Amino acid sequence: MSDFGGAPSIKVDSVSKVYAGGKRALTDVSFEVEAGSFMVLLGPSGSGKSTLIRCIAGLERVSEGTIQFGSKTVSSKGLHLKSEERELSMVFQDYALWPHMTALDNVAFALKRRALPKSQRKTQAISMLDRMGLMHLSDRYPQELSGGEQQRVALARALVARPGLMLFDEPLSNLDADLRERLRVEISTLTREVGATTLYITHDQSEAFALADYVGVLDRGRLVQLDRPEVLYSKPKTPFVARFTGLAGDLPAVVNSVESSRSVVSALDGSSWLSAHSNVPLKMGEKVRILVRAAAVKMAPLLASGVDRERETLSGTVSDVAFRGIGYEHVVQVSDGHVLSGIFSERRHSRGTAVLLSFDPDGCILFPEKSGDESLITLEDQDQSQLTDETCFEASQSIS
Amino acid sequence: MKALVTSSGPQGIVEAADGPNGHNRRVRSWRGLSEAFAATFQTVTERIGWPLFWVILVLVLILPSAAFLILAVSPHLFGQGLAWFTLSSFSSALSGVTLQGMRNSVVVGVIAAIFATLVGSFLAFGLQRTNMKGKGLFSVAIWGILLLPSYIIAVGWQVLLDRGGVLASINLFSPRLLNLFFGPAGYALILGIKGVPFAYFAMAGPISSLGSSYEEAIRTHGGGRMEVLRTLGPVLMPALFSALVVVFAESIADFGTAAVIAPNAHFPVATYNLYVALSSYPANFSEAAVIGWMLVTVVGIALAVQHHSMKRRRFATLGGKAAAARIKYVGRWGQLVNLVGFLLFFAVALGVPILGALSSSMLKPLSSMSMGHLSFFAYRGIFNVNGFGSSIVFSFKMAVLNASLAVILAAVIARRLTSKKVGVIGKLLDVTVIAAIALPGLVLAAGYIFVYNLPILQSIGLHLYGTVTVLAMAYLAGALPSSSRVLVGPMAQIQGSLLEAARVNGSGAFHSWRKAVLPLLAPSLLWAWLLTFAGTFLELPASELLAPPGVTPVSVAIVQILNKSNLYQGTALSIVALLIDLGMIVLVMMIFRTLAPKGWRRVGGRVI
Repeated sequence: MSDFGGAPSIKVDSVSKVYAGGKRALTDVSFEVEAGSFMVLLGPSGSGKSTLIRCIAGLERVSEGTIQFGSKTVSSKGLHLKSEERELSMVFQDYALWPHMTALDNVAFALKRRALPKSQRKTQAISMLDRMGLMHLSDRYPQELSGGEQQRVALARALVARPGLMLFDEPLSNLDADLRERLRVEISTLTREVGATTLYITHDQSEAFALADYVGVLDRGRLVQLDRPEVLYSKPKTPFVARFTGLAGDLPAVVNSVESSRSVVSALDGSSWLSAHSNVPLKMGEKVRILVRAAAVKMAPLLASGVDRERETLSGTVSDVAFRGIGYEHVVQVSDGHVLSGIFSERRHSRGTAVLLSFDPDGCILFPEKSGDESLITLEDQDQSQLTDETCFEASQSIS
Repeated sequence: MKALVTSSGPQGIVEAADGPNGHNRRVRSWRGLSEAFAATFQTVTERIGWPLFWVILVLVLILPSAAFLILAVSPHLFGQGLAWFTLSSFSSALSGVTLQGMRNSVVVGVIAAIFATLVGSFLAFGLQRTNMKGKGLFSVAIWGILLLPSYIIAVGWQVLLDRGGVLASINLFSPRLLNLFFGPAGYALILGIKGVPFAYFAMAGPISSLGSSYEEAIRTHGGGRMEVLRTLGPVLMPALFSALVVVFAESIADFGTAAVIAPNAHFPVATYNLYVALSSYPANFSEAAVIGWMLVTVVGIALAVQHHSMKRRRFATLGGKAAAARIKYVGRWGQLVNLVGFLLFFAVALGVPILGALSSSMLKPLSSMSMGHLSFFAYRGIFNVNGFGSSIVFSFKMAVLNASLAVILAAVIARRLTSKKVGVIGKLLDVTVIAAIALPGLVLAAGYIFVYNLPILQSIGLHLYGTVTVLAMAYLAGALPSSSRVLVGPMAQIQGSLLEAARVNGSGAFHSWRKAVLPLLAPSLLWAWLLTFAGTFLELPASELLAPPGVTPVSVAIVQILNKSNLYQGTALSIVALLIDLGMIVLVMMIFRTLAPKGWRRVGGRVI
């Protein structure tokens, strides 16, 4: 088993990475992953998540800061433990199965570091392939396998030596939706079965939420939030995190009243108002944006609506509808021209239907208008902000 | 609106949008005319295009080479002997100098192949996978070697080492070095240098597309550097093998090196033996044909083995799913090692021959090397002596004509080879092109001498032998396989949907091709044209054997002067010819860059 005492914890401390050409990929990234837990790093392309996982894998050197596995430092400015000495395994986006080796040889390769006799390596590799349901394909070459089969062989290769640390570099992004879901379940169960510490990067928030014990969100080389998925969803710390974790849309508004709990407030210009919450202090009259989660919006036809039109509603028109199996998702243009998408209803509302939207305050998050996506937080900030009680704000939507 | 609804195609839109004024009517009528012309052109090409194309292929390529090779086993068929079928020419040729020549060719070919593959792989790794400085310049230098005919490299080395050469002028003449040059070592060196671009191109693609993740997967699963080499070595084997075979085949078939070295060396090689058999009086066609057979067989076996090995295990993931390879950042010492290695090679390959030729051409006869003894007398001589100016003009005209013809025919071949509906004819074409690649230029030229000199052709009034036409045909035959190879790749990448998109938007077939496909192919067509031009302008084997009396192509003039030991004028003529060759490439590229629309100059994401 691992030199780092089974599954190691990972400590990334103030890591920065600047490439030889001068391109800065990571800036002062710090976080810890508990031994045996599953952490997902989420971010768009160019956010630095690949660089970060490559630094942890030992495929890139860090420019500043340190990385520790357990108590052992594996990377710092003057120290770089080679990848092959870090006792980890990795699943690549492009699978990286060696094209001239059969599925069995690819899997058995990972056991070389265990110094087992060849026959034993083969037996273990076969049993791993069997576990993955790939036994009948063991003699095939990678190019003779489908994309999903190739990725399962890559997964078998990563799991077979039971490494303490497993890294996943967007392993599902080349697969179709159905296969992605099935493999996600396999990754989730198998890594937990092995008990490895797992670090997984993706740009897909639903994948991140489904897999992770903890999710870290990266934006332009900085870690902007690290939390449990539920916290990340309900209390995003920046508009970027809120947007990246799924929104129906956002609406401009003005703070009309500030209270410690949700309460009824009067509407601006007498037509519409919403109740929402924020994690940052807001002032009366401050311009804000309401970031709306799709799940927080309910819709009903305007005429049949039983909701009080004067309160917590917006009227709009359905501009698109898509059948999603269990119901319908709608795109609604609200009366001021803003668009909210992904609004679910079990009933179909045809294009052009006038509807009334009501909002759950828990799914409406306020950010000051001036707070850009560059609003960043450090690890210390995160700890402090977790102690802050939730404060609710009510804001009127400004009809612009 | 009515016009829009009722008319199909762009004419209707022009009419509806602009109304019936004079200018637009003219536009419409021109459009109509060009479409009508295109339709007629298409019908004509469909009716007679393919038969005509095959007639050309048979006349320039298939008939001369096949007849020449058949001659070896059936001399009576061509009135050259009594036997309808005999192997006696083989038994007599498979002994003595002929056999020794073949053996020498194979040995030198193997050494050259190994040398070129090692150097080519080193260059490919340095240029494709590291951040080394001067990549652009070195890439151009590799093209330079490709364009430089082997006899010019050989001449450059010869004038450096020869008794009255550059080294002698600074009192460094060494008989041992000269002996080494006029023997297997000299052959292997020149052929190895000439082989490097082929090895480089064979290795560069796989090395650059061998995604870094393969290596990283080894490292993250516990394998060290040695494990990386051991595991990934086999992935590069097909490319390595392909490089070896291509260089071997090119070396065996090379005539330029032999033409310079063989008259002075006691080291027979197959191509020179073939040349001697043909130039003796009377010409010994059967011996030449047997050597032709041996050359074609050896090259054919090498290519067949390579084809077979590639077919057995194609590593399709190369350049497929794997992400592009990462560039390795080498430190100061790594840069220095790379730079020294690269400079050393290019000094040997380009620096020595060019500087050797340049200094030899400017040095007064039998004088020591000093600034005072340098002059342009040899260059003045070229244009004074009657004939050299006309040699240059003749070769230039032939090169322009051949490049234009070859590109058109090669485009047709490439189109056919990449077509989805290959069929029997497509396969036949495929086989013909592969066979033509295996056919040394000298064997083809020998076939021309033989076939177009047959009495039967004279009797039907076809007097082709000893004319410029037959030389032009041989040039064309020599250029077709390589220019088709250049165009097959880009042609295969043209998506059918591009053409279909143009068609469904109302363009005719010819217009669609011109608007949607031609611009994408333009850079490749230009490259094929330039490669053929450069190759033809300095082509040696066909020129040597087929130039009609009173006409001396540049290459023949150079070799003739050098064999008369007139180093100064020979090298001066080489330099002038090279300058014209490279000057033409630069000029055409500049014209293309200036005049062609930006969309025509795109190669992948780059604009040339």
